[in-house]
Amino acid sequence: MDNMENASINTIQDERVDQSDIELLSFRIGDHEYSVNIMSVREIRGWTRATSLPHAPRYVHGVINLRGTVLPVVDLAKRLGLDTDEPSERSVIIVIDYEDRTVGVRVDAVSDILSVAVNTMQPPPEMLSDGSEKFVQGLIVIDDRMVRVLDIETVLPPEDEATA
Amino acid sequence: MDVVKSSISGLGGRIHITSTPGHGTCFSISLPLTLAVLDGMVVQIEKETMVVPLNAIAETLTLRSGEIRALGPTTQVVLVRDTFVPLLDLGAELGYRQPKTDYSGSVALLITQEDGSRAALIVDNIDDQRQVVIKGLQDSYGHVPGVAAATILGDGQIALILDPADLIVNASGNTAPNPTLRKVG
Repeated sequence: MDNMENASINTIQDERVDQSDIELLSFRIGDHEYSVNIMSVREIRGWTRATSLPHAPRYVHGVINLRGTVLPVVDLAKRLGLDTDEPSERSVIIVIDYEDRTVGVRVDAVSDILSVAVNTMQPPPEMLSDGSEKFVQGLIVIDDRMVRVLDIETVLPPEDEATA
Repeated sequence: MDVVKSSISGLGGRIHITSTPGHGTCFSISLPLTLAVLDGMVVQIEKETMVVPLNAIAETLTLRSGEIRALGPTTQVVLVRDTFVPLLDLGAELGYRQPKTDYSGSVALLITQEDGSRAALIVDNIDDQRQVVIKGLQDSYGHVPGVAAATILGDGQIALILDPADLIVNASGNTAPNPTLRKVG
């Protein structure tokens, strides 16, 4: 891909938002910057203690009480295989809707809402070194920062594994 | 109309009205599917608060070392009024900790199953008996081995409701910290 142009950033107050723009919520895990399509973000919550699920995969942090419903929380750092600190009280949980499932995703901090033109999103390069690229849907370059667009489906815990 | 709204709110549901003048009105009523309430015993296992359905519990026991016998290299039984009942450490079965070296003095729930078989499930502490509202895990997460559902306690924390039958069927029965032969008590 030779065409490395910076995405044009419109702030959320800008009136001239194009129809072909998508809005991304960007967030930080350790030193890495990721983003998700804002249309799938239901809400953003501060940190609450999760009830752990026995025999769950390591990246499933547990479940929390989301106004009376049970919300599973995925520790995104563990899911992506990133080496970061343990969740602290300053972590943030992003509640994401995907198809008919709602899942919380723990991140270190939420950064920005970015409005980018769809055609400036680049496909992820096929570097197979650390395995994290399968979670990335695309890349956006903003101000010399590289923001990865997260593929939500890959992050979710598998649906109803086979029972004994 | 007020009676309708109060009744629906009382069940934990919601009612929503949209209306187009001259065209029609749409009433949308949402009611929670799982209104089930369960009598449960609230217990502590390795700092997690969990609930065991009361109808599965025959009695509670305090284990005395003289009553605990080794069965195999890693399994033990407890003597309950002339019969031996398999011993399960719930903390170990749920993967929260390694089995302990000594269970004398521990509290256990004596579970009776529909086929008459029994098992003693060791917990860290019994808090109290409470009615809890069942919240399903199936839709939000899926099946968790040994867990039937979840509930929300008074402090807002989620407690898992255990499924004793599922726990017993899938249990390893491992109550020895390392697989060596243990002396009979």
